[in-house]
Amino acid sequence: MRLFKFLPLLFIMLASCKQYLPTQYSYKDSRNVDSTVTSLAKIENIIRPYKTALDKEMNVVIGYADTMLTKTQPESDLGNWMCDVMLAKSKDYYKADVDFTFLNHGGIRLPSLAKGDITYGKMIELMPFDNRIVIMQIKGTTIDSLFNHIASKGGWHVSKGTSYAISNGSAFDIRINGEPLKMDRIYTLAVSDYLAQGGDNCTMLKGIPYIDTRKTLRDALIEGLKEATARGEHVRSIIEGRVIKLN
Amino acid sequence: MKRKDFIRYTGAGAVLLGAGSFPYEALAAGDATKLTLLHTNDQHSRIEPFPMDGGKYQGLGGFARRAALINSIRSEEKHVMLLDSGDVFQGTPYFNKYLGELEIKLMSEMKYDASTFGNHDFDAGMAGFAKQYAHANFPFLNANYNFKNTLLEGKIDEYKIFKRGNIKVGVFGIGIELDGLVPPDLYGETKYNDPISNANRVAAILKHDHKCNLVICLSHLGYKYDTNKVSDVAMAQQTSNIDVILGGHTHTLFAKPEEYQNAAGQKTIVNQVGWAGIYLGRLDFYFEEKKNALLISGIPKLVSE
Repeated sequence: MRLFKFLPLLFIMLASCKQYLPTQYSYKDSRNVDSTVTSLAKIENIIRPYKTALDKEMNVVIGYADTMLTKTQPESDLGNWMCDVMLAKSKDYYKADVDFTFLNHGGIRLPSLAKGDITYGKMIELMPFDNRIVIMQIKGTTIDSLFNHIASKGGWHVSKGTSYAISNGSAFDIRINGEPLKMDRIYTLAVSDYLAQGGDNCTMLKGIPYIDTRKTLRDALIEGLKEATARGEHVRSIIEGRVIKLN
Repeated sequence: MKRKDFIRYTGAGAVLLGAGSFPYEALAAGDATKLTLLHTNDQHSRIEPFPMDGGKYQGLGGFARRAALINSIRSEEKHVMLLDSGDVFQGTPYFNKYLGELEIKLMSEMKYDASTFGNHDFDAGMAGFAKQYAHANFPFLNANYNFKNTLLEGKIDEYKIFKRGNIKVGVFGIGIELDGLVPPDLYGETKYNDPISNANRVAAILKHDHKCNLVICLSHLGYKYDTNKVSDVAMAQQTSNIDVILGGHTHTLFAKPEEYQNAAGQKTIVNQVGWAGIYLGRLDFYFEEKKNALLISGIPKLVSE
């Protein structure tokens, strides 16, 4: 309101004196930071020690994949493996049984994991965000609406023992622990806090109370992989029909 | 309108652009001040160029190259500002290991003038950000977060005024709603306040109280949404006194800056340049001494490329 009171005064002031105003502007095409530009040595020198130490840490081999694992829909060998490790570690953190877990397709941040050595750095690239595993008690009817959402997104990744089919963007024949979903039963779900808070349009999960394990998905995967390696196991995963897409 | 002005406003772009030269070099040398705005958004810890692994952005970006590009522009132009619109942090193992230390160090070395908070800049928590921020020689500006009872209390200004030649540039920052986007324990007691009313409030202070010749908003709201979620476009249309909104969050690469009519019927320019430092945005503004400033509407005018 103060502004309006002074507006006439301001007008008289500006009308009587000169002022610098932006009268024209132009823009330059921004697609420019490429190999045609020679790097500034001063900046490279600052980066170098960080890079050396980082590469050393990131290049540490923590596992081995027998085959290349790829991120695909509706089901993927990469997603199956990640969900299985996540479920096993969730049970450890929760110190009780967990029925199932799932991962949103967009939450996997690498298109594939190559056959052979798996480095620590690759695991960080696979899951760079600090999303944490949370445990929630969830009703069968909510799971039904969750899986319909998952189906509408083209199919997301689920842990072993859980399966569903997709027809015309809807889910049916949902099974948890191999058993048909019971609408009135309460199940225990391990999920990222991001999805639990309604992320990636999981609105049906928003507001459901959960227990925060305070462990990130990334740490769970890294721990799980290291433990498997210590047992002499390689990463093996196949597409085994957890998700069947009819049309 | 005087003949000289007529040429400047209508003929220049059409006639001289065809010849490949810029109108001001020919017509207005001496009486216009040029200000070059360089800007980035959503750098996401992309310290090195994307690796040559067949990916979409392979070989693009990198701080050392960007710094070289900025240096060469600084050697050519008298008045340059380097600005950023947030999400400096998160996205490569550099952040996971060093928690933003290198990003802040490099931006300081590159002489950034200001940045603002993106949602991912809270990813190391308040303590994590405060730790790195202590080493920054440029400010993170924000006018719609209240940092009371956090480690950043009293450390974040709403705006900063820069002097470039005879031009005063007011820069302020606006951040996105944190609830639902950032885990609550990371942003702690930080309170999110309405972007539009706060942008209006601060822009008026800069334009009228401080008489800034150009008011720039560094925004992390995002370009625009299908829903009624507040965005750069909404802010451009619902506020007054903002000349330029340099945006982020949606990783949008504008083909060219967009112009919107603001609440006062004036022009607000919006721009955003993708993400990961693959791009360096550049806007050049030309200032002239004018009489009857308030009577001139619809300035500034886009003239090139």
